[in-house]
Amino acid sequence: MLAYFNALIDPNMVFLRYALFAGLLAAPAFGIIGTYVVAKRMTYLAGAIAHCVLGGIGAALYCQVHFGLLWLTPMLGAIVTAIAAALIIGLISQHSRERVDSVIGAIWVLGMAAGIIFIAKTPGYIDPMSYLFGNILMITGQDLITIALLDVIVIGLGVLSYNRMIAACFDEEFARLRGIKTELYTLLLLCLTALTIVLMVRVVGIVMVIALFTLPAATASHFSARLWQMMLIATLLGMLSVAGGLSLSYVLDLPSGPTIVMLAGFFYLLVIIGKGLKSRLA
Amino acid sequence: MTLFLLPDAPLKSIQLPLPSAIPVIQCDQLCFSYGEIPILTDVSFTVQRLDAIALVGPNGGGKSTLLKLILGLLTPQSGTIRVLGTSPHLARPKIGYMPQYLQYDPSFPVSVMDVVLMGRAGSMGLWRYGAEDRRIVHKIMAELAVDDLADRSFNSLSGGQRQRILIARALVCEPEILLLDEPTANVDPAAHLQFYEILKELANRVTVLTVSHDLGFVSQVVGRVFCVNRQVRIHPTSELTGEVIQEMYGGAVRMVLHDQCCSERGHSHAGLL
Repeated sequence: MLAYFNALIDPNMVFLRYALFAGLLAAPAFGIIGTYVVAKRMTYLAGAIAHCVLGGIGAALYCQVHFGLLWLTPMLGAIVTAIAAALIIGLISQHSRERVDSVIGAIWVLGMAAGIIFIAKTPGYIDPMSYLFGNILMITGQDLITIALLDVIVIGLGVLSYNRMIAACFDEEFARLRGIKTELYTLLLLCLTALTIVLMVRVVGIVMVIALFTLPAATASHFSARLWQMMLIATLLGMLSVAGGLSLSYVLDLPSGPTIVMLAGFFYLLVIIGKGLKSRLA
Repeated sequence: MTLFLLPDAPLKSIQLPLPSAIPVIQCDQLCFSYGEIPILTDVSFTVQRLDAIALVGPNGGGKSTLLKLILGLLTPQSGTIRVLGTSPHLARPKIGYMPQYLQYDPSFPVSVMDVVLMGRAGSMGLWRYGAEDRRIVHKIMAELAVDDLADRSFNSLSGGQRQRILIARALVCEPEILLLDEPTANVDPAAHLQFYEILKELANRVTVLTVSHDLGFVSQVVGRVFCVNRQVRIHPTSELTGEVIQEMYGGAVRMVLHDQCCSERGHSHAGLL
């Protein structure tokens, strides 16, 4: 474990520090938005947005190489795609008679397929695995700045809309009758979900980012009587998972993304089993 | 009952600025159908200020649909509906509503105070409730004798407590019309009685429309009964007889004498619900 702390301050191991910073920075956004996602039961929706992001990453890489659009970074591609997917899912579920779960499934798969095709047609070696499962070696200082900016946006809007959001999540029809534009708030929540997903794609990857959304919030829900408590506890659990998972992965030489997710899952199982035992013994 | 006896309950704000000639609700030849299935046909009625009305009728007869038309949540295919002299949509801020089913997630972590405050969501500032919102919430909760529940978790309440909290939530927007959709469903008999006491008090200061299966109780509170079964027939409560009630429910209905609290659907077993 000491080796890990030494590595953290080692100037040659800057990636480890970046990964830790990225995780700690993203944890509050995950705690806040994850709580809404869990309370509103839209995990599946967040999953679709996350997977769809690969399309944007692939398209950005493709454009960088083929059209020399160097400003079009994978991060930017991810942000644009995530927001687009969120808006498409939101608007279709509100205004179309199409089955919502079919639309979600389609976006989920088409995004990934487009991403793989773009990456295959981009010359040079790009490993899709590092986007799917995360690769902390890829995090740059620029990424950290983007993550911090997104964080400010997500937390700011999440806090400002807190009261209206609980009203809309708790009883949508009643909230609408009281003049809250619930459709708008659902779209806002979807967009914030999209931005939050992008925050952590670098660290844990597209496939597992959902775990960081739902596991800390679901664990926190067992200790929370209020939504804001759930957000706070989920944030702390998220930070703990990232910090603990990174150190474990370094010490035991494991891939970092999966280790972080396993740790978050471990906390969740621990709480469920603990609760079960407690109620059986009581 | 000490309800509503607070010294300076500002009833003035509830007494309508409207000229009394304008009916609170006016329905004219209203028709509504879900796709091919007609729910309400040719419904006309007028509700005056401080009327108290019970909506009765078989399940699927259109009671909830009628409330949703008054709220502007549904739009009629033909006919007109005016609420407080304007469209249902524009009248919404002045309508308090208690839904039949709260699409409510029992694990949603929220306090009783938060739930009641949702009734003030329309008048909230940029991002939070103001002192005025909290004052009115406390006042209404005190009137309904639920102010001691404010800090509890909503999901820890009994059915009867939850019902009174939802009535409080409907009242904190200081409505001129109160719409209650089966307020006594899933409530134990003691809470049942208590509810009708509350309803009696409320009927003195707001126009009330309540969906009910419990004619025996509700007819002591309301002035008219609307029988909703595709059409709406209006009976003053003084005219209610066994035949009339049988006609409303369209067939044989076994009447139960209301010495004890049995609805025609049988006892409610609060613990099993």
